[in-house]
Amino acid sequence: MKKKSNFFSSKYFSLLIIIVALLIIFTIWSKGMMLKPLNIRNILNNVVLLSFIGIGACFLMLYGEMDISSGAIGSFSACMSAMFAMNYGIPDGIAIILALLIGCVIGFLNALMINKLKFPPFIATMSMSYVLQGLGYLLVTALGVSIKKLPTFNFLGDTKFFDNLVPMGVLISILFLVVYGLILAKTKFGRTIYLCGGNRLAAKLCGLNPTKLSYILYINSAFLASVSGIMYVARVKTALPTALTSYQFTGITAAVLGGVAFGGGSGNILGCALGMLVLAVFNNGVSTVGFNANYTTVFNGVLLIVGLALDAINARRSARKVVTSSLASLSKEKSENKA
Amino acid sequence: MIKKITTSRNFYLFLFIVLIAVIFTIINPLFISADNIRNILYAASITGVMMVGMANLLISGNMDLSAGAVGCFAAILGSYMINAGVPWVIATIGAIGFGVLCGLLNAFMTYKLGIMPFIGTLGISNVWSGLAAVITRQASVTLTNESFFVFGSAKIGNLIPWAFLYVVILCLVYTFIMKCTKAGRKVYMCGGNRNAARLAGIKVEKVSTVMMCNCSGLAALAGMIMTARMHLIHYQNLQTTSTMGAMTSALLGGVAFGGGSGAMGGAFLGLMLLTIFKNGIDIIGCNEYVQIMFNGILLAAAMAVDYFNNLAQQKSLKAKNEESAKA
Repeated sequence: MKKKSNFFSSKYFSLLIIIVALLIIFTIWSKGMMLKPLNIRNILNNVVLLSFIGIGACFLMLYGEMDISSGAIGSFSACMSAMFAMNYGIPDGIAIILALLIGCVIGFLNALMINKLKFPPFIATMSMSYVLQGLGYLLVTALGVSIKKLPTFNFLGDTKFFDNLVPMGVLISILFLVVYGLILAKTKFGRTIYLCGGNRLAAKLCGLNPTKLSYILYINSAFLASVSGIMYVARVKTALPTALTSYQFTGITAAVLGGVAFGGGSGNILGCALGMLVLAVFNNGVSTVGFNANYTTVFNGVLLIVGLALDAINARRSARKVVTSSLASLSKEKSENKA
Repeated sequence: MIKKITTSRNFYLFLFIVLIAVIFTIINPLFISADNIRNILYAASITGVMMVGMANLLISGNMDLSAGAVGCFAAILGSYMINAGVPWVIATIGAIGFGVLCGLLNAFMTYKLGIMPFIGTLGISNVWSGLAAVITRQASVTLTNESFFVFGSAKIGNLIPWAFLYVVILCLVYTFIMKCTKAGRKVYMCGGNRNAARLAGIKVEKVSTVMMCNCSGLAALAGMIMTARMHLIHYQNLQTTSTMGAMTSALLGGVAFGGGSGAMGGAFLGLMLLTIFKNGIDIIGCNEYVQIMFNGILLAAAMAVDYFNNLAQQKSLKAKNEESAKA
């Protein structure tokens, strides 16, 4: 019984309510267009692309840092895989693996800049994203590469289950969400991330190695971004150098909305996944109702700021709580000492 | 005196600029033609006005990634005002006023709501650029006011545009303010050590707010200059690229990313370096995508300069400390 009331007062419940409310509002507003099977598949497809980048962003934010290059990494890997498979005739399975490896190398470079040269993370990753965008344009031009007759890509992009409603990507992203959720919640490694994010100095003094963790997390984030890029190519069949630009912000916004604290140390994958759903439903709804696509940018910016403000207010409140409780215990000790 | 000049950082920066100018000229002699020099100065003037605000903001230990988007939106508002028949001077002042309001909003987010500035201003920049696209319906706003165009495109002796003089004047004015007035020294203190500044009785938040308003206001001015030069404004003008350009040039010029050190002279040289480099890449025939790539590489290079600078400073401090300990 107690557990149930816990759930109803938790932020997951409020996020669920927001999702349902958004669905209802947009369904009524768009006169039922929102709930058509095709549109639901659209929403799911968007969540799929978002989910990989979102998981990476969530892990890094738990650690207390961020990767602004993940959108560019995703686009770049997408271009790479398509280029390898179409222009160089490499079997597409191997092309995908190569693209993922390239993603990992880029993540390593990010971590190198941040840990060795002490760049602020967002400057390092932002410069990386410019470099990748430019490189992507140079390699595949603004027209991109279209893929044809590649079995692995087709398998990833076109397989659908349950009356053509659930694409293959959804299953893959659920698999990733579950695996990463379990890693975060149940393993020693997951606890390490929380500890390093909550208080890096304390983590260091406990004998953990935050630097090593940061390498792992940046590589992980880049890897997931590459997965996103490959899923994009598999579905859309064209790799553009701008395919996933600005997805990193959506990922960060989803994580912030899902309750991942911006400075690191608290939050989990479930909240993050619900945050992604909120954003995907919202963005889809805005365009289904017939707003100009640019409104999505505006609303996403507003949502990001609202989420951040809530996070900041939350952090301040909990800090105050800690201070008052420690003050209370101090005064208690003092009075006991006097007695 | 000569030794002081030859060992200074700005001297090396200057030499470096001359070096790359010579290299570009050897590759393509058109680089040194009057037309191209004018182009460089024009490009420098728009990034430059924004850079002045950005450099001072960085010195005060803050940052703003929304400057480009604010500049674009303010310029669109200004253009609408001019098209509605408002005299261009008043419209420009109005646009700057709007920029200042944006700065206030940024300061409110950073200091009242407690949002980290770089992610907060990034969110805000999305809002402004999205709104700019929405209100212009993705079309450019064209202007026909001839007297306004003079503001951006008049030149002296067919070589030096007025717009470039604005940058020079702004640099001189801000050098004076930052180096010779009490208010300017306060800004340096805020950036150098926030807590120490607070304990010394400086209202850090107030100083930061003023610097944020200053940065956004100058960004709006840059937007208006750009509009006056191009006779139109489009919602994709300025935006993130120019924000990063302004930041990169300030960092290349030795403004510390964490705040507290740097000066307008160096930042000006950084600006020239960046603009000449970008223009040179163009003129030797690389395509625009190489430019996007170099944006990133230069930004990373600027941060590396900052890092090694810090390292050298720490080393010299350590050596000094050891010396004094021995004594």
